[in-house]
Formats: sequence, structure tokens, C-alpha cells
Amino acid sequence: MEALGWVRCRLAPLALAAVLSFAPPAPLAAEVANPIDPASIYVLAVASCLPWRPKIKICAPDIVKFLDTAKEVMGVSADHITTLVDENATAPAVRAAFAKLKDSLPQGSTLIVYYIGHGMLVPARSDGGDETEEALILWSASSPFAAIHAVHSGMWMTGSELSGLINELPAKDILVILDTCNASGADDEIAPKPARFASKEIALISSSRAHEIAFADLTSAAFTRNLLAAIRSKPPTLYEAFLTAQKETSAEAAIRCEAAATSGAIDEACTPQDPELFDPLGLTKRIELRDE
Amino acid sequence: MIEAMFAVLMLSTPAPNISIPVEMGPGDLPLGTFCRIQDVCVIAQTEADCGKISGKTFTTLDACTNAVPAAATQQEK
Repeated sequence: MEALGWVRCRLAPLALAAVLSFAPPAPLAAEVANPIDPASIYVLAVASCLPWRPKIKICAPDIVKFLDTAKEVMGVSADHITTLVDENATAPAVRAAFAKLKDSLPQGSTLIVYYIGHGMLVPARSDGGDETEEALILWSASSPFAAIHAVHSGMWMTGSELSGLINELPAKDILVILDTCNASGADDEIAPKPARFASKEIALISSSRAHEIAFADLTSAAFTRNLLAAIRSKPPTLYEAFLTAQKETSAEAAIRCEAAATSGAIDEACTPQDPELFDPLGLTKRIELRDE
Repeated sequence: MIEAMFAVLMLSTPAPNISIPVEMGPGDLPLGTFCRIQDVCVIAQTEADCGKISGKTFTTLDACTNAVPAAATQQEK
């Protein structure tokens, strides 16, 4: 391996010189078309680790990691960030945060909504076509007695409610990142296919397909960990970072499956996790990644 | 001796983070079901619970269109 590295190091300058002598000078990095100005990016970060699901305590640390990355690599200003964590991440608090953003976001700005926590598919209340939709299990001190009660009483937030809140904002570009079980269950509500005809550009990054479990370890959610590592490797845009995180997260699920099969362990650990991107207008290809 | 050191190093390598997965869902929380009791819509944990009226009342009937009718004896309560 070292020998191969030596050959690469020794031959690369010669090859480069040969290419440069015949080809016109090219830009060093691919240029991003119509990039989003980092100064126009705002973030609403919501993390809901539930006291009645005590195994997962990754919400607060993952929010810190996400926001550090957003500031350092995406150039988001610290005073453009709203954070709601655990007991502050109740559904009324999230609605209040959206109401505040509705009054304060500049016209034409970009909003990134990041949610990490639990999610569940519930019967759809809208006529969107799907029989189910994703509900974000926002914070409550105790477990609701049934999921549909949590939805209908406003304790949780469905994808269709989140979509309604997003569409009231003056922001032009909105990226929603959901790291939760069944995350793609919100695709029809948040990033519907006719979006290309709407006045807003909305994209959804989901950590898992509908009916899939999103996994976490004791330190971080798997998809968030992979996404942030990919962002910090500084590919040109968030789009390439997502592709890397998608591949890594799916590979981890396959490894979990193999380990479970070998040890005869719990079946739950042997389920795929396939992150998806719903980005009809290429919003993620306009978010550049670089040092602040 | 070198082989022994290598073996010790291999054993002491920390396990990857993915070794203890936990899922980010609601656990065993029941989905619940709607029960219709005359002009009142009730949410219960299971269809069997509809007859016990153990759920909590819900004020609109929209969600109750396809609800399971509660037991006749309970409708009188």
C-alpha cells in the first residue's frame, strides 16, 4: 500500500504537468450554480428525546454537533439559529417558534429545519393520497395513551401540519432534515411533487424510508453522524454530502444485519435504513460547504 | 512476542458505535383507535377498549367517520 502511495506521489506531478501542457487552464473547483448566500440562511433545530423512551439521550449532543457544523462549514450565523431541545421541544413551543419566524424571517431567506428524535406513522388526516403520514413525537413528560390521541390533541406534529407552518413563512428556500423513524413518510406533505410550480423551493432530507427504523447508538443518531462527517469532509455542496451519508448509513444497517444474523440476536437490529432525498429543484446543490 | 502484542492490540480495539443500536420510534406505544358513541367520538387504545369507554373524548366527528361503534350498553352512559 505504501509502495502504491509512493508511485502515486511520484507520478502525479509528472502526469499533471503533461495534462497542463496540452489543456487550457481549468477552474480548481467545480462552480456551484446560483449558490445560496450563507448570510441568508436561518436554522430551526428541534430535538426531542423523550423521558419515557430513556434509552436514547443523543438529542442534545447531536444538536450541538449539527449547529457547530452549520456554523463552521455552511457559514450560518449564530444569531440566525433557533434551538429547541427536549423539554423545550414541545409541540406548542415548535408552533410558537414558527410563528416567530413568520414575523422575523427576511423575504427570500433560506430556512433549514432540522429535527432529531422519535417519529411514527399515523393515519393520514389530509387527502394527500397516502394512507399514513409521519408524525414527529415532540416532547411530553409522560407517554400519551395512544398515538392518534397525541396527534389529534396537538401533542405531536404531523408532516401536513409542519408543511402548513413552512408554507406560511416568508422564506423562499426551505430544507427540512428529519432524523427519525419513518422519516420519508413526510415526503408527500413537505416536498410534494408539484413543488416546482410553487413560490417556494422545498426539499426534504430523510434519514429513513417510511416503515423503516432510524437507528442511533449511544452517542449519536447514525444518519446525523454520517451526514455531519460527510459535510465536514467538505464536498462542493450539501448534495454530495448527502450521497455519502446515504451510502454510509445504508452500509451500517447491512453490517448490523450481518452481526444480528451471526449472533442470532434481536430481529429489530436487522432492518434496512435507507436515507432519501426529495429535492425536485436542486436546493441541496446550491448549499455550498466550506470553511467559515 | 510480536504476534502476542498484535493480538492484544486487536482485542483492545474499541467496538464501533453501531454495536448497540437503539431505534428512534415510539416503542410499544399503541396507535389507538376511534370509537363512535352516538354523537361523541372517543379515542381508545384498542377496538376492544371501545366498549369500555376508556379513551378520552374528542370534540369533532371528522375523524370518527369509520370508527368502531361502541357497545350499545355503553352508549347509554
